[in-house]
Amino acid sequence: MDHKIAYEMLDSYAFGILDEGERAAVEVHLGTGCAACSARLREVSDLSVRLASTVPQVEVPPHVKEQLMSRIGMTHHPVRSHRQKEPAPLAAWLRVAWGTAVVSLAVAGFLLWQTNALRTQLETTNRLLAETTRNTEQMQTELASVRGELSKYQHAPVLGEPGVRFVSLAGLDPNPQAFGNVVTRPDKSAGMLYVYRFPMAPEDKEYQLWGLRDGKPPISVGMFTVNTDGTAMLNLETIPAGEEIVGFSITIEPRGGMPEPTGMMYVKGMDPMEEDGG
Amino acid sequence: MVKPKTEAAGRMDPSRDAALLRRVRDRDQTALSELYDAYASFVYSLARSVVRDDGDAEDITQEVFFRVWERAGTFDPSRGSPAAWITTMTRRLAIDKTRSRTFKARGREASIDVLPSVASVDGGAAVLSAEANQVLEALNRLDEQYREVIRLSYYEGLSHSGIASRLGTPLGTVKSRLREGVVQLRKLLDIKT
Repeated sequence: MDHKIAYEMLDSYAFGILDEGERAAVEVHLGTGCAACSARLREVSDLSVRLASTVPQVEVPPHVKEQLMSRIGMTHHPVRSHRQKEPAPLAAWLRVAWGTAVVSLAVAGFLLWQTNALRTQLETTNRLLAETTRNTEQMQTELASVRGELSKYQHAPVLGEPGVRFVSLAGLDPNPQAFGNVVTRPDKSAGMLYVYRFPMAPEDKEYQLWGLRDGKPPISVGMFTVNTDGTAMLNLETIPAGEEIVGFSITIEPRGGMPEPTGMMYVKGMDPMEEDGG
Repeated sequence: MVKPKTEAAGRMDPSRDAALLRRVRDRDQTALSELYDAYASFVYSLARSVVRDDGDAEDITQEVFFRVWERAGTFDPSRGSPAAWITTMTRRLAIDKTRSRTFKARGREASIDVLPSVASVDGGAAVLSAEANQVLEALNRLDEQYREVIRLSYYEGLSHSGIASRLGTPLGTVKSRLREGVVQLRKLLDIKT
């Protein structure tokens, strides 16, 4: 259990109102030796004792203690006031046999009780273990997913880098409200594409980003699909080195991409620095 | 007919009780007997306030001390005093008992005079100690929203979801009110951290 969750449950833990699973989970966390939670539990438990003091006190019936002491094996019976007659040898033998049988039954009963208690504890522990394993697997999946997402953007240019280039992509006829931006390093070695208000592509199609070059055909920079809200991001880590890219455009193409544009162009934009000669 | 006591919380003495627990851990039955004498009424009264049944409260009292006997070695002083350990154990067993039976119909109509009047300290039972009256007074000074959640959780033993259902309040609100209520109550009682 996460520390924050356990910490927030300590009030209820001390008040005894958690269910078995929650309680066991808190105890597992406390078992890790969390000092903050132990300190907090100490505070709340002391408050619980003080709240308990508001309950009007009544005497507990005396037989409760007698039963308890009997249960833990203490001889708590009053001493007999008269001496008993010596039993006959046969009677003594029968008493020993009877006593042995009673003790055996008691031991068997105790072992049975202990076995049941251990079984219950084992079941609880197994349940908690299964729950913890499930949670761990889920967290590992989520972590892997986050790491995967993160790795997509680790080469993205930092907006604060000197000379970073911005290319605005304006919507064209198929969907004039679409637009986007490409942010790249000055040498276009890496960058990010952001698009907005793009229609969802059909199942067998994808969008393809093209790098536009002076006097040469466009080169493919990457493929992407858009989210249901019409947005998409693409990490441009595959821009071919040494290419003089002066702008970008996006067309819709068969899934997997094409070596040169064949579909309708949705957005296009030129690098103002290249247009200014710079 | 139950016999009232004038002492609110037995004869609690943290250092003595910790020493008794160490002896109990070493299987000293006399130590358990002494611990019982110090806490039995406290445990019984507390259990009775939750389960509202004398027989169940007796069973719980016996079970609490049996567990003390069996589990004294697990007592961890870093998490609270022996009194706190016994209190938590008692409440847990009592609340589990109420949840394991059809408690509603039976408990709500019980006539046992176990619940203190949080709403009206002046009318409190004469058997309450000065300590108890101080706590009740602090409860009365608490904001209504916090007092209600503490009352339902502590005195009625309701779970978070039970309180949320009773008050028609979101579960998250119940949890945050309980946390804040505990903080406010500790301040009012001037409990130092």
